[in-house]
Amino acid sequence: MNIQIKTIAEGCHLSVNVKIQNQVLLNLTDNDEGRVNIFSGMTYRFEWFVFAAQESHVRIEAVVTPENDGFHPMVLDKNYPAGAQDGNVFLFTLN
Amino acid sequence: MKCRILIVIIFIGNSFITLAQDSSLNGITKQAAENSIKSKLASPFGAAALSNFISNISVSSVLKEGVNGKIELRGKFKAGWIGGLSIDQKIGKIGEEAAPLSITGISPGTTVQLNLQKMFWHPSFRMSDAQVAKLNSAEEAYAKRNNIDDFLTVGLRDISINGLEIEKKMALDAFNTIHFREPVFVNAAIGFTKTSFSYTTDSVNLTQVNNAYVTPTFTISVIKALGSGFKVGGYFAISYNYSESYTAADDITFNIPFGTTSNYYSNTLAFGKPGKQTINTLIVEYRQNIFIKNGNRSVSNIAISPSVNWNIDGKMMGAFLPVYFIRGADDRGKLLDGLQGGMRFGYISSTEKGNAASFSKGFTAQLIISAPLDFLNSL
Repeated sequence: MNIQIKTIAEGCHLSVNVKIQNQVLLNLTDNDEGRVNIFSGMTYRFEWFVFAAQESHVRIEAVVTPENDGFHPMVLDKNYPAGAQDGNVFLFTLN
Repeated sequence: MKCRILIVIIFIGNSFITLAQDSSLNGITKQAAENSIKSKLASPFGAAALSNFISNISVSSVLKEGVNGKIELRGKFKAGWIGGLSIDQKIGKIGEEAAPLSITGISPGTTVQLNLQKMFWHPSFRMSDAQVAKLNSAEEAYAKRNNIDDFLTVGLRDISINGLEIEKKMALDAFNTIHFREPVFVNAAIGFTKTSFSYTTDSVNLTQVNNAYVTPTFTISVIKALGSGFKVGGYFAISYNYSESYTAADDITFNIPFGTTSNYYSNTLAFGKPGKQTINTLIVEYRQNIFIKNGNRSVSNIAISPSVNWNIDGKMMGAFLPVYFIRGADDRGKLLDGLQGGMRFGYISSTEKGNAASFSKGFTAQLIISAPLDFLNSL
C-alpha cells in the first residue's frame, strides 16, 4: 500500500510530513506531490503546517491505495487571511 | 645645514599633501557611503531584506531627491525557492518618463537586480502518540459539534477561534509544541547599476567627457520569521551588502571669455574622473505587522520595519523607519486589490565622534505607492 499526497499552496508556505516513530517518511513543501509505501498494523503520523504572510489558499489531498478503512481519502481546503499560521497532527493505522 | 632644512621643508610639504589627499579620499568614501545608503532609501522597498511575496510595480518619491520607479517580477519554484527580477529606475526630480532599457542596454540611473531566495522550514510537532490521540479525540468532538464531516480537515487555528475555552487552550498548547515553527529565509541578490558622468580633465580647453559606468552590487540576507500563537508577527533580518560605485569629482565653475568680446560665460564641470569606491554595509532590520481585529478575522493594516544601515568604509549610519499601510480585506475576507502605500522616514549621519548630522540635514522622507501585478501571480 502507499499513501499519495498532493499539496497546493497559493500565497503561503505549506509543509506536510508523514512520519513513523519520529522518522520522516515523506515531506512535501508548498506545491508538491509524492507517495510513500506504508504497511498494515503500523501507526503513522500525519502533520501539516501553514505559514501565510498574505491572504492565501491551501489544499491537501491524501489517498491510500488500495482503499483502506484505516485512512479514508482526505481533502483539506482552507483559506487564510494575511498573517496566519495553522497546522495539525493526527495518527492513523492501516488495517 | 641648508640641505637639512630643505629636506625638512619638503617632508612637511609632502605630509600636508598626503593629508589633503587622505582627506579628499575620505570625503569621496563618505559621499559614496551616503549615496549607497540613500540608494536603498530611494528604491521602493529597497531596504527590506525579505523580497516581496508578490509581483508588483511601485513608485517612491523622496524628499529633495526625486522619484524612483520599480517593477518586480516574482516566481515561486519547488522546494522553497523563490526567484525574482527587478528593474529600478531613477526618474529624477522633474522627469515625467523613464526608459529603464535602451537599445544599448540598461539606461543610466537604472539598476537591474536578480534575486534568489531559499526557505528553510522543517516544522514538527513535539508530542507523544498519547498526546496526539487525546488531541484527536477532542477534535472529533469539535468536528461533530460543528457539523464537519471529517475531523482530519480541522485546523488547530479553527479550534482556537471557534472552540470551547478548554479546546482553545488545547489547540494553543499543541501548536506551541511545534519545533522550528517559523521559517528562515536566505536571500541573495546581485544587481548592476548604470551611472553616467560628464567631466573634464583638460583645464585648458575644458573638453567635456561623457562616460557611463556599470557597477555591481551584491546583498546576502538571513531572515528569521517571527510568530506568536497562530499569527505571523514579522521578521528579524541581518544583511551584508557589497557595492561598487563611482562618485563625481567636485564641480568647478569656469568663467570663459566669449570670443574676442569683453563678455564672459560660465561653464560648470566636474574636474577629474569620477572616483571608484567599494562600499561594505551591514544592515539590521526588524519588521512588525500590526493586526487589527475585525470580528473573527485578523486583518493586517500596518507594518513597521525599522532598520539600521552601518557603512563600514565610510563610517556612515542610516536609520530608517518605514510604515506600510497594507491593503485591507473586505467583509468576506477577500483582500482588496489596488494601491498600497507607505511612508519611510530616514536619518543619515556620520558615525565618527562628534560628527552627527543635525536632524534637519540628516532627515529624509519617502512616499511609496505600490500596486500588485496579479496576473503574474501564477508564475
